[in-house]
This record gives sequence, structure tokens and C-alpha cells, in this order.
Amino acid sequence: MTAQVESNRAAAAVSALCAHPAVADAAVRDGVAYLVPDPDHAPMLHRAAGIEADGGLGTLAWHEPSDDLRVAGVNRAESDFLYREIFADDTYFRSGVTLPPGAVVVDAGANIGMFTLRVARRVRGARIIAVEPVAELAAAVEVNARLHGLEVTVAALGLGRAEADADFTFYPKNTVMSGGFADSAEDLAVLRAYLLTDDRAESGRQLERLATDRLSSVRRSIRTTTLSRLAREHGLDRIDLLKIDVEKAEVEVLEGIDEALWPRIDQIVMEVHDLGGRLRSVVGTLRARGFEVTSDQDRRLVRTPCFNVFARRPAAPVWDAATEDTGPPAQDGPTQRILEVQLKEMLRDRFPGVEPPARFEVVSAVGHVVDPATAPGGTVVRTHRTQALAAIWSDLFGPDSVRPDANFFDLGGDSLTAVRMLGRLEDALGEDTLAPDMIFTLATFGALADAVEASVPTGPHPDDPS
Amino acid sequence: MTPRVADAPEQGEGSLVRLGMRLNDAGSLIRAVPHPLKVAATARAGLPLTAVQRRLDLLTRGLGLPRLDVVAEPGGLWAVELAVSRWLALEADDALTDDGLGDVLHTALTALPGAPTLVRSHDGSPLRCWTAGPEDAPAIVLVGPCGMPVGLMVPWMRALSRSFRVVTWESRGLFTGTDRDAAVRPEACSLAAQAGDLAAVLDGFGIGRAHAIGLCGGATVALAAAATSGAERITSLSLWHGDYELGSAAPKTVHQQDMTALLKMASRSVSAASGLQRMMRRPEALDNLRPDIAHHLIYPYATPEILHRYGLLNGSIMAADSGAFLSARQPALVVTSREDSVAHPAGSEHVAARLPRATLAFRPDGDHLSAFDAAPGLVAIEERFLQTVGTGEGKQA
Repeated sequence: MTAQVESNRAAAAVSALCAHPAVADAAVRDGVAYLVPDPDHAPMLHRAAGIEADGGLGTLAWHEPSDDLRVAGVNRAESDFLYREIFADDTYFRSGVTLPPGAVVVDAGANIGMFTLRVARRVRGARIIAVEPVAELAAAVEVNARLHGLEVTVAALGLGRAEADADFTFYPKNTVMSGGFADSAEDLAVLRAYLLTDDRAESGRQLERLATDRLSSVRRSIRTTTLSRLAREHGLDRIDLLKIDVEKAEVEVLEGIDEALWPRIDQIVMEVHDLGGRLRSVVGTLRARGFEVTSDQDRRLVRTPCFNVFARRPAAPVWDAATEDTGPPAQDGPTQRILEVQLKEMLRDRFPGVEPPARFEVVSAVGHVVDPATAPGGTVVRTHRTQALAAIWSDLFGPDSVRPDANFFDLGGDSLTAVRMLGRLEDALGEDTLAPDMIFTLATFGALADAVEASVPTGPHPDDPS
Repeated sequence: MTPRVADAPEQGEGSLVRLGMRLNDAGSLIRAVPHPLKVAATARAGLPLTAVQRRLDLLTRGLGLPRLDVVAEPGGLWAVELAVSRWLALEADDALTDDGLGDVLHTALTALPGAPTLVRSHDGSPLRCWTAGPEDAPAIVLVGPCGMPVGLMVPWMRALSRSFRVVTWESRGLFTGTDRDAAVRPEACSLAAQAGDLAAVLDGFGIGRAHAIGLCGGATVALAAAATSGAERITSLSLWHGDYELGSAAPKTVHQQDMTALLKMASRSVSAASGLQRMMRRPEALDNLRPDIAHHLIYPYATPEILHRYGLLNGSIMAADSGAFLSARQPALVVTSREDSVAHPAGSEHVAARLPRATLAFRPDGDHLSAFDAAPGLVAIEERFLQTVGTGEGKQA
């Protein structure tokens, strides 16, 4: 195919892409379609591109745990887990828990803000205070609030029985288990038990390795405050729903509620780690405070000591669930996943027999992709060098992982995986193809492919395009 | 000074004793890295870290170690600093006093492994060596994996030195900081040279005959020494979880393949090792390392220079054909476990099948690193074997 034919076809593809209302502008280069989302028809993707362009995404990554939700997350598997727990299984909105319009909700242990999003989607005009002591996760809540156009107050604190500095264990690869009462042996047992309930559960040493790897920890010092103080500082005269998921600090959160605040809390949903009779104690405390209490256990957590507790004041008004919004707001527009499906279908209709772009990327402006050096995520498969990297990457992490934004760490890479990759790269392309620490400083497939391209020794390879 | 055999770092009489012993245990690593090394301490309200720093200063000075800088936050520390921090587990603790510092230092310095003795190998390379147990008892030479500090071998020294004279040493070229040029000559890095160190250590302590115990890569060195020195010098040998190169005769684990690639890259130059060392400086390098021995396991990655030498020395061991030494006629105990995902158990099975007088023992469970713990069950396996073969005298005739 001549360069002119190729160029004409790319121009036609751009024209077709721009015909979709969600696409304001587009460019196609090296088999990648770069899309500028339309602010009216794809506002969520438009905001995502803006966040990424101004550096707001930081070390987070975009995850789409469902066809209608995009979030900024730390680990893809955790975003999927949180979505399943909070949206698909609707873990917290059971046993009579409802929300009034304009509900005041405190999300204690917000993680990346998945429950905050669930509340925002369920009831319009909610006032949400998201409390999350891990800075990286609190940043994710901020990004997700911005992505979804929500007014959320983020308190980067822990909740406890008093204001204090407290030790805190952060599990970067398993953030949902981070906490002030982390116990490596105890947490390993819980994680192992949870992993065993997975349909695709590993076994034996692989399970142990997976669990141990996920529980590599970082010790931190965090600032804690009490729920009463938080309520005073934010002028909360009532709390319609208090959600607590704080990894074994749940009793301390309750102890931080003073006599004046207790009667002003209508509903509590919480995860309780039933260690040392804690479930019974928590249920007793809540009943003594005038709540009707029920508890149950997620079928995926039956091997763990984790229970859900639902507490509701008998006099609390019951809101008709039918009046609550339960689906995604139409004004969010499509996720990238859905937009890709629609665009591919459209291109196949327009250009039968021509394979649509292998990948789609959302960008804030196509000007960014004119110069390959600044293309987001780098370019793909250009010469035999990138192809060699792609083959090795695919062997290590699976064929689906060969994407410019695929991150070495998200895929489970560690130091020895890096050595394996380097060794195989050297076998394929010679010594010094990649400086070892580049794997960690660049991290994504796209950036590493660029580095591999840049390290070409002399002259083109016979297999490379001229 | 004869080291006391009963002390374990965890069995000290107080926090200061424990800290002194743990510092001493991490001494090889602390000395090797650029100074100052930072260590994180857990702060407690009202208890300043300056008291921890002062106590640490007294101990490091008394133990002859470089100063460690105490910091409040582990964020920003590199892997060695984190490994040492976790091992020392410093806390601002008002119960700690400086009373009896002299006794504490004495306890730490006389506990196993005790003070090193410098022995010159046959080519002049200096070796840091240790001995424990009665001088007139039958001798055992412990051969640890290349590049591991002596602290990793202390559990076996402790277990066996009640009845035996136990000697061991740290790999040439990686610990003494002298004779650097000698260590990077290719012939100085060969398996033959490192097997020769075993004989030099026995010579240095005046030991004529000994039973050799090799662990992991040390099994290859012990096997090579047994095959080349003969039964007059190495009377019998035990090979625990050996890491062997046997070509197509036995598969290797992913870990063995990764290590081979890493050593090959590191051996190329200090510059090549430097890139790998930067990679290993990341805290995540500790993710799969047991915190009680991480400060030993990470030693080969302490500096680019050490990593380069490790690439040369351990690379030679891992690349050498172990099949060439399987004619060794000494009685041999070969131990492994199906749960060893580091050194493939099939290697041990092959070695046991080919050695003329070998017994293969499969542990019912236990991973690779647990072999270094010298738990009672493992010691019992070793002692039963030692009873069947008898052992040589201690002093050279």
C-alpha cells in the first residue's frame, strides 16, 4: 500500500470518527485512534482527558470496572472488587437502608471513593464527607469527584476515639486492607481466605505468593480525629447515613461519637471484623443506642471474619427506593469501553474489510498526537524492536496486556520479573537495550517501547518498514 | 575469644541487649553500604527520637559500626535502610536505659558468630572466617550461599557447635573490602577458586579432616571441594537444597533462571551492575523477603561494586557444570523439599542418584529459606547422618 493510500484512509477514518456525537476531534496514527471527547455528549471522558492533561491523575490510572463507570484507581483489581461489592452487589443498601433527597452521608474509609460515587448516583444533591487517611486514596476520591462533577468534601484523616497521631499500615497493592490495626499474619489469613473463594482461585504456593505479594506494606503515621469533631467542623447537624469500612478500627470510630451526636445519626452501615467477639459487642452497642440492627456476611467473605452490620433507627423515615436514582446519570456520556465498541462498529460499516484501529486513546487535544514524541502512552508496534518487547511483554503478562498504558506494576511485575524481561530483551536485541531502572521509572508498555526504539544501535533492521 | 553458643538475638535479657545483638547481626551489611545509613524508628508521644539516636550511637561505637541516622519516617528510605530498620525495630521506649552498656556490648560481641578471623586463601584472597564449638571436637565446615553474610549461617552454627567444631567463612571479594583487584580477575572468581577457599579455611584453623555442609549455592561449592580435595580432607558431605547446573539433566525454577540472567548482567561491568542495583534499591525489592533475614539476603545488592562482584563470583558457581563433580565418593546426604521454589528439587534428586554413596531425604514440607533456620527437625536429620558416617578429628594430625 502506498503512503498516499494509507494517508487517505487515515483521513477518512478520522472523518468517520468525528461523525460520532461523542467525538469532538480525532487523529489516527500508527494504528491508534486518538479521541477528543465532546464536552456535551461525552462529559465524563471529556473531564477525564482534562484531568490527565493537567497532571491531575498523578500516579493513579483510569479503570472502567463496568460499561457505565470510569474511575481513577490505584490497582485495577481493587477497583473491580470495590465496584462489585458496592455497585453490583449493592452491599450497603440493604436491610432497609434508604436515603432522603439531599442526604448527609459520611463515608469513613472511603478508599478511592466508590461508595461516595454510589451515593451520588443513588440520590441527587447528597452532601458527602469522604474520610480517608491514605493520601494516595484521598487523592483518588478528589479525582473521582472531579471526574463525575460531584461536590464531595474529602478529609484526609483517620477516624478514631480521639485526636492523635497513630501508626498506620498501608498496603499499596491491597489498599482496601490498609489500617491502623493491620496485623500481617491476621491480614494474610483473611486475604488468603478471600482469594480461596474466587472462582479462579490459585492454590498452594502460588496462592501464598499472591497473598504475600499483595500484603507488602508501608508503615506510616496518620492523624486521627473523632466523628463528633468532624461533624462539628463541617457543620453536620444530622447524618442520614454513616458508612464505616475501616479495617478493624470500627469500634474506635464508634467510640469517637459523643452523646450529642449519637441521636442525630439515623443509619449506620459498617463492616465489622469479628475478632474477639467484636461483632456481638458492636451489635450490642448499636442496640443500646436505639438502633434496630441486623448483620450478614458476603458469600465471598465466608472464610473471613468480615461481616456487614446494618443499623437503623426505628423512627427514621423510609424513603421510597423507587424515587432514588439507581442507574448512571445519562449526562455522564459513554465510558471509553462503550465508545470504542460503537466506533469500531461504525468504522466496520463504513469501511468493510478494513480493520479498525487496534487501540483508542482519550486525549484533550489532537495537537498532542501530531508529534509522536508527545503522544500519550507512546506509539505502538513501529519496528522489530517494539515487536520484540511486545512479544516478551505478552509472554510475561498475557496478550491483553500489550497496551501503551499497561503498567508493569499493575500487572504484577517485580524485581525478578524485570530481570527476566531484561534478559529476554538482551537475547532478542542485544546488550544495553534498556537500563534496568527504566522499567520502574517508565513503567508503562508505551514508554518502555519508546525507550527500546530510542536505544537502537545503528541502522534499520531489515524487517523494519522503510 | 570463644563465642558463646546459647545466645540467639531474640533471647537477650532486655531490649538493649536485643538491639545490640541485632546490630551486630546486621554488621556486614551496615559496614558495606555508603554512610550514613538511615534507620526509621517508631515515635511515641512525648518520647523524643534523640534518645534513640544517643543509644544507637553508643551501641554502634561500641560494636565498631558506622553511625546510623535515626529518622521518624520510613518514607524515602531505600531497600537496605528499610531492611535494617525493620530488623532493628527501633522504638522510642522509656523503659530502655543505658545501664550496663559494657555488659550489653560484651554479650553482643561474644554471641555467635563471634569475632572473625582473617585467613588468606591459596591465591592470597582474604577470607573472613569464624569458628565455634570445642576445638577438639570433630570438625564441620559450613558452606553458605555466595554473597551471604555469616549471620545467615548462625542458626546452624548454634545447633551444631554444641557437639562439633564448626567453621565457616564469607565469600571472597565481597566482604573484606581489600584486595579488590585480586577478586575481579577471572581465575579468582572461578568455582575452583571458591572451592579452594574451603580447604584454605580448614588450613587456617589447623583442621585436617571435616564433614562439609553446603546450603543452596554452597552445596555446589562443597560438592566441588569434596570431588577435588578427596575423602582424606572432606570425609563426608551434606547438601541442603542445592542449586546445581546440570544442563538438560534437571530443570531449573523460574527463580534460578532469573538469577542466572541477573548475574550475567551484573557481571558485565560495574556500570551494568549499577543499573540493576538502582532497581534493587527500591523498597519493593524487599516484598518477598522474610523480614528476619532480609538484611542478609539483600547484601549482594548493597552497592554496584558488590553486585558486580557477586555477578562474577556467584555467576561462576551457577554456571559451572555440577555434573563434573558427581564422582565424589564420600558418603553424602542430599536434602530437598517439593516446596522449594528457589532451587529445583529435581536437581537434588539427580545429584543424589548419581553420587556413588548418597542418601536422598525429602523434607515433607518447608521452603528453600527454611533450610537456613536449622529447626530441630532439620538438625535431627543432619545429626542422624553424622552418626552414620562418623566424623573426622578436629585438630590437624
